[in-house]
Amino acid sequence: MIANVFQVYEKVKGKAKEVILSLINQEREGDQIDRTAVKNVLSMFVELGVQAEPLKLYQTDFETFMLENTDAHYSRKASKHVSENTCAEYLFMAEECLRREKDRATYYLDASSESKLLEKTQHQLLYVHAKQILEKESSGLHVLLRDNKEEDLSRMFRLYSKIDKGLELISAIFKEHVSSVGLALIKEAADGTRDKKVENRGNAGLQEKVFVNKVIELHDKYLNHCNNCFMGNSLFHKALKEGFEAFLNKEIAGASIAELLSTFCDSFLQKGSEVEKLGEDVIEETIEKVVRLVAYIHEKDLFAEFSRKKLARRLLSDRSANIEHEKRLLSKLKQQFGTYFTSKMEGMVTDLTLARDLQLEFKNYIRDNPNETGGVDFSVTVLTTGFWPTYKSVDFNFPGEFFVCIDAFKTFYNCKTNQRKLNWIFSQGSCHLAGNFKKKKIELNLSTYQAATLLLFNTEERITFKEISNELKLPIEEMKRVLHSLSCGKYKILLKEPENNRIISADDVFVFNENFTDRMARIKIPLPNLEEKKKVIEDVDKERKYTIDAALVRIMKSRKVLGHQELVRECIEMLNRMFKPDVKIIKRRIEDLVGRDYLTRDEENANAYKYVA
Amino acid sequence: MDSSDNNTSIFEIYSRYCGIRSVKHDAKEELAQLLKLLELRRKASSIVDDLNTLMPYLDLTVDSCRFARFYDFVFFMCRKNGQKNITVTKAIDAWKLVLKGRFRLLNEWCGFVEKHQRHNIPEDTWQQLLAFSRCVHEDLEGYDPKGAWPVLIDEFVDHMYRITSSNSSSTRIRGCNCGDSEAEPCRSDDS
Repeated sequence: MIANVFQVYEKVKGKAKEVILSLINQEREGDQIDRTAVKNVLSMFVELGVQAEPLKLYQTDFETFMLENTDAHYSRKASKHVSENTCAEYLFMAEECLRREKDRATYYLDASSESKLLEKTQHQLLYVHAKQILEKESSGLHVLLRDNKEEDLSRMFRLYSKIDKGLELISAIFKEHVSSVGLALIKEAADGTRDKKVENRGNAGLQEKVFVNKVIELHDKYLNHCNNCFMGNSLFHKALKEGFEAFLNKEIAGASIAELLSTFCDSFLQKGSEVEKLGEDVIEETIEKVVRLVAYIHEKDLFAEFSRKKLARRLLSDRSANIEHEKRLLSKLKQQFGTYFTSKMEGMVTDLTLARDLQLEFKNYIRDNPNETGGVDFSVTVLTTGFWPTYKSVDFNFPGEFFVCIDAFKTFYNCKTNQRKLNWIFSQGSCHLAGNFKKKKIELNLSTYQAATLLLFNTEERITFKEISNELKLPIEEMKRVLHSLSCGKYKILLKEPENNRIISADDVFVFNENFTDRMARIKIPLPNLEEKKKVIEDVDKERKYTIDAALVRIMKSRKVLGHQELVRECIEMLNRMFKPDVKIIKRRIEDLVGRDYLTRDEENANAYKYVA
Repeated sequence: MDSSDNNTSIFEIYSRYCGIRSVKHDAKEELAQLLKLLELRRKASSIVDDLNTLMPYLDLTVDSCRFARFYDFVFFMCRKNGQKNITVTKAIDAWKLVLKGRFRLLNEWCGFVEKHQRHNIPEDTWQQLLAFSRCVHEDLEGYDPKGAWPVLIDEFVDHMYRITSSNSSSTRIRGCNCGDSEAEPCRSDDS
């Protein structure tokens, strides 16, 4: 009886297979088939299986052919659709096919076939043409990303997470997309600066703001994609990081992004920016986002130094909108980049609070001794050297009005503390003078040097450059800058003779412009800052030398003997958090350390160094 | 040969130098003394004179270690007032004399240093140049950009690459003929 069954099986198996395969094909084309019948016939293959290998007949006589058939079917389907469909349509189709195949497997195939069936389908539909599908010129991943097609992106992720190296491929395209969009922003900003160079600098900071806001927007968008469409997969976070690093380490018209970001923070935290109207949570969020961008730039030390200079200016000229916001930014930076990164800036903030207390005390002191300052409203900000940027302190011959005030403060200060030396930095001071012009009285907001210069005109009407210079004893360049701001700028408080050019020369004569007037009752006369940027970069370069030296010595101290390449590598690794040191500079520093006998070359191997204790 | 009897002869100084260097210990004092003796000689004879006197009597072609010792001595001679580094002019004069026939790119090197180096030459650069001259051929083969060469040598190589690529077809670098048999790095303890 049993033998009979097998004879029958041998006769019908071929035919049965053919029929089922053609039914499957029909179903794939969209026809209705009798699924129960197929299931029943297929159960024959399984039920005849022997104990030892229950699925042998099913596999050799049916499954192999079925899989081959699947392979061929989807190979055809893929080649047809890949050229006809858009990327999104194709993926939709692929997902649909996979769903149907899965359904098919559950319904009438043996359970063991499901994974193989899906494997074949995925391979043909997604793997074989992966590049072609994803990089479709007018509808591929680039376009989906550009147009925020979240649903399609999610689908793509779902499908390709099952494909070998699928996510690597997508994340690589993702990274390339992010960096190319970023680079386009950089180019746009650079073109913008070039075009607007001629226009006045009234809206300085605006360009930075626009650019940084765009970058933040970009980051929001792609971070969103990472988390929502790409399920927070680490490959994509890495791609996002690398994509941003690729363009945030470029320059825009000679300015590094480090500088732009610090300028952005500066205008964000300044009084009078529209930020003051924003809610606390928006401010908090923006701060967090900027810090996240800082993480992408290699020259973090440059950002820190620019920020420190700008913070100093905000604090000293009372331009900071809200000290709590300053603190919040610092704490975010500290959290992200470590204590060392912000220690000086935090010191400055605390220092200023102490200085304010002292100012209050002095005010009370003056209230009790009103004659000490000769009626001038006077305050001094006492700071700790070390936290603050170094300012040139030029001794100059200040007018008597100042002298009284300074003396009063000295008396006050010496009573409070002893053994402390005050170092006066007039260049950072400011002064309000009442200008009695013919038409009306205008309050002038000036720097100390500007004020000292104008006060000379209380007694003389016409003063030559040489006389002013002799009187104030300021360095010539400084003197020229001050006089330029008073006679050649927007507000001409002084009239220059000859007035034909806008260059101050030693033979010029200056006259008080009593006819000056302005619609405002109070004006600030700007004194352009000297090349501050150059100084920041110089300072950072200098600081880097010390930092590299320290890192090299630290490494060598622990390793004693180390090959050149390893030393360079470890040094870069150690400093990575602050900046990306140039290999050539490291080499120079090593040479310098060899010259200073901290290191010597190993006698056995000229490519290795020894630590000299 | 020496114009005054107070002067220690250059032979004497050299042999004392070799004596000090062959003992492996820090001999700053002794070297400083020797440097003073050398400075006394400068009143009567120049470094170049001294080298010209000394060189024919030293059998420098025999082994590379002996030459390396002598090469170090030349740097030592050029130091002024106990300074660690020597001036570019002195270094170039000395190189032209002692590396003649030993370094295929000598002329190019001296020309490059004269034109591009503004700082003094430190001892390490001096010593590494000898190693460089021994292991690098005139086509710069044998130079490893990842190696620990002093920056000046790296820059020289870059400079040479630029020159050769700009007139690659016509002129080849003309080096001087020399038997460079001593590619072995040497250690300083066998004198």
